[in-house]
Amino acid sequence: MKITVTQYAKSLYEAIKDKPQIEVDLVVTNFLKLLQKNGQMKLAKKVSEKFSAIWNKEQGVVEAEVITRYKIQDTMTKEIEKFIKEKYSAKEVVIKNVVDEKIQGGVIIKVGDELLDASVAGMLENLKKELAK
Amino acid sequence: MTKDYIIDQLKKQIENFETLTQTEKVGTVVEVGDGVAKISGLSDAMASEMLEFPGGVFGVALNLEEGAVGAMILGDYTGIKEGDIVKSTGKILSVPVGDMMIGRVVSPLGVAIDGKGEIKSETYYPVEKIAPGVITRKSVSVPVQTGIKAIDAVIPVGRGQRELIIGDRQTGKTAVAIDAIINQKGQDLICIYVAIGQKESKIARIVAELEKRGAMEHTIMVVAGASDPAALSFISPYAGCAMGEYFLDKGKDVLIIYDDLSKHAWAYRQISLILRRPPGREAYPGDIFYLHSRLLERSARLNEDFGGGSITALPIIETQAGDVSAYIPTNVISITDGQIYLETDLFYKGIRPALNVGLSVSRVGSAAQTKAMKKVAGKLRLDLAQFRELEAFAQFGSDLDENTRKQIERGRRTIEILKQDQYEPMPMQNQVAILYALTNGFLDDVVVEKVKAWENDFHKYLQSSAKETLELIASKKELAEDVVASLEKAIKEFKETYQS
Repeated sequence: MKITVTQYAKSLYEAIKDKPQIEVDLVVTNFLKLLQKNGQMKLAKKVSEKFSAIWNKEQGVVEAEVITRYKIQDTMTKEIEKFIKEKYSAKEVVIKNVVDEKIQGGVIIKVGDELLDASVAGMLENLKKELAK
Repeated sequence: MTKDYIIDQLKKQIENFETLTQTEKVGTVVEVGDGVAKISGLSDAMASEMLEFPGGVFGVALNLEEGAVGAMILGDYTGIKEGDIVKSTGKILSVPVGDMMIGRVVSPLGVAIDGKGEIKSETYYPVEKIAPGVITRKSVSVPVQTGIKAIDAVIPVGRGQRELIIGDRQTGKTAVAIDAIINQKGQDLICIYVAIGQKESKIARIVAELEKRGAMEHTIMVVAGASDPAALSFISPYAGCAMGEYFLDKGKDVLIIYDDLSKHAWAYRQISLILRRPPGREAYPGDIFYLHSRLLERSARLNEDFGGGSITALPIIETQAGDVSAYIPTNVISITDGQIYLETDLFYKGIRPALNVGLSVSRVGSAAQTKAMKKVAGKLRLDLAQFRELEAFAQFGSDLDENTRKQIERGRRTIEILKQDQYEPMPMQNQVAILYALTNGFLDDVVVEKVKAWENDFHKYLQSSAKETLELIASKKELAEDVVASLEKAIKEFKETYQS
């Protein structure tokens, strides 16, 4: 039977969790050897993506993309972190800041496939819709 | 309106505008092509949920796969590109419905396209809905008067019935349907004409014709033109049916024409193939039967406990070179309660409507026929059947015995009477009168070539000098003794005065 990416990633996670760093290295090496043996090295990238998704979910890590007009300052980062931690009851938040001049101001927060649009551009768009009614 | 006033109004609107910031479920477009998009993300999307693409274009989720959603795009898909953000709306695809739709030409999404202003509606009905169940239904008992003699007499249609109109191109399928709409003028039947992938010129012609004859006052046109995306063609019959269901729930009677379901099947085949669903026979997807059966099951006659409304469907199927055993025609024939079969040969012989009376049937309609019509139609059917049997001998002319010759002559006149011009539907009482005259031999001494003229003058005579007879038939709806006497008297009087 063909083993899917999800199955690879899940089993890798099961093998790694609760293990000290030295053993982890060994497991990963073994895992890569297994992939090679099965002739599915081309899946490695996908497996690693899926693995981080599973890892984040299990360990309570939330990756958030924060889009702003200017690069965000430290105090701001902390506040956003706090907000996301509460909203998604996450233990740890990894913030990726993207600067986009098109949003004009405010902030857009993207977590997984959820989007919180508090940008000036978005609000103007809503106002446009309201006035066109 | 002064300039200040406008500015004031705008100011108020802007002041009252509240910015609501909510978390939305989004996905990203990974693939677009030919009106179908593949979107990653959107983890909570429902089947047939509306999705919003940038630029205000909507789509419908059709395939829910692991990690991705396959959606068809309702509208212009040229502006959509890879990486675009798609928002879910949490709403099932629905269309505005209501009384103000009557007399309008709308797109399958309920947007006016006749330039007569926006249609505002508070009520929305879902496009896909499960058909009424067994306990809510009743068998057909009231006729739909199509105004076409051949149909009302031989293949009657009842309210709540599904009667297929099938035939090659250019055999007058749409003409039959349009005549049926025109005949509902001033009556209680609301008509919905659904154009699926039709030429815009044809639609414009139909709208103009209906307007000219005052038939738009009880008609809704739902239009997906040939240049609209296949997704719109695909949803248009369901949207038209949803608009009809609004009136059904109000206890009213509705007539829906789906013109035509062959193009609907093509549109669905296109979408399915692009969505990579496995093709089956003639490359149609596996659920092509369900596609039409779930649509036509929504036509129903409800019993009094559920409002007593009805939806009658006249689906149209275009065959290729008379092949009724192709995939889609056989499917739809088996779903419907009968078919009106139109033939090219008859059409070119000058028999219009080009109805093949032998192959056309109505499985339930006779239960809905008025008593008067039933009585004359019984004899008419017999005459036609005998004529068909003897037609082959007709060329021997004088060598035939008296009885056979008589039957052939009667048959010829029957065929002549069943001819009817387009856009000239005939009221029930006139139909009964002329068919009574025919089946009782009052036309046997009229030359075949002059039967048509005789009929026209007969109707004129009834209208001017024997109005009470017509009214009697219309009100009693059966051929009681006094009605027959009055009718015979009128016919005899007409024959005496008539000179051809």
